[in-house]
Amino acid sequence: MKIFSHFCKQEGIQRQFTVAYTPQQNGVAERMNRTLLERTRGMLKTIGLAKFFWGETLKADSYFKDTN
Amino acid sequence: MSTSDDEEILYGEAKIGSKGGKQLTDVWIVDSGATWHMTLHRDWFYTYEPVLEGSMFMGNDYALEIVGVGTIKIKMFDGSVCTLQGIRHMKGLKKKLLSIGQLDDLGCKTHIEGAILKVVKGALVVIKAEKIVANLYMLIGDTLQEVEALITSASQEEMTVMWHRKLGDMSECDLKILVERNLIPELKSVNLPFCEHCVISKQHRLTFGRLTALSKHILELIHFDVWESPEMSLGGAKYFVSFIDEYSRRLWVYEIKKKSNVFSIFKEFKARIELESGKKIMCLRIDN
Repeated sequence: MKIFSHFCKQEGIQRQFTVAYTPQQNGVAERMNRTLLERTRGMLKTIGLAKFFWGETLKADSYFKDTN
Repeated sequence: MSTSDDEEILYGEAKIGSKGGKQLTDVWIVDSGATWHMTLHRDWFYTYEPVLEGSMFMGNDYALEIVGVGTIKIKMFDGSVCTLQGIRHMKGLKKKLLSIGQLDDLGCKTHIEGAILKVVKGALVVIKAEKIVANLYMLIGDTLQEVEALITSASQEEMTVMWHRKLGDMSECDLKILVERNLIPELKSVNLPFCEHCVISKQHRLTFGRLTALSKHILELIHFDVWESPEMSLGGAKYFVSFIDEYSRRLWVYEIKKKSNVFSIFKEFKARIELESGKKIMCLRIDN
């Protein structure tokens, strides 16, 4: 985390932290995660793949989301 | 020093007598002409300090000696116990007087309407008095004698708190209903002090406000989150990192095997995205 903040300072990136244990404040990211995971689950179920394919499916899913 | 003509009238009219079985000498009379609250009864005082010297002139310039100052507890019309301060113990006074001026000093307002006198503090009616035959305003309530005052103030209050807790922090209103119906025999009056637990338990979180249009260009604000999977993926990844651009809502997802890889992924992402767009990341929103 120290290297991270140092890097951000160097690159002039301002960081906004949310309050601990309050994921509501990071709403956009958390909501996107939900959407992604719902889609991923749906795809896995439709094709009938095992759960450990989530990484690959997720990758495909995020690609679809951006091209659509 | 005090009192105008109405004091004399008071004395004259007082002979008229009684109301509701109570002698006029036994009740408190609200008086705008009185300098202080006054009484004769030594045994009514809850706290008492003797006064060595002091006198007070009545309407007929007749001086009465002030013997002491103290507090008296009065059970008011609504059953609550009120402590009046700065009451003068007068030798030879036949009446008990409540001074409106002294109440005013405490920030109380006095309203008289339709034969009812109300003393209001804030939004609360503290004292009520009704007009009686002699055109005097008689306080509705009973004076608590020293012993009685001790019992009522201490044990009744403790009892109320105890029942309040026993009945699952029941409200004061509901307790009053129970007492009115005589369902709690040992409780005579309800006087619930401030209950901290009630207030704390009623607190709730405020909703998060909506923020819209934070950014006007791409890469001005990037939302960032790491998600941990309960299961390892085929490629061996346990986490994924997502970046979302606030303006364009474009999404980038990277799978990683260890949390410590987040930093290198971010560097990679940053380099790629800044080269592609020709802009710089200005702000990053992350949770801890």
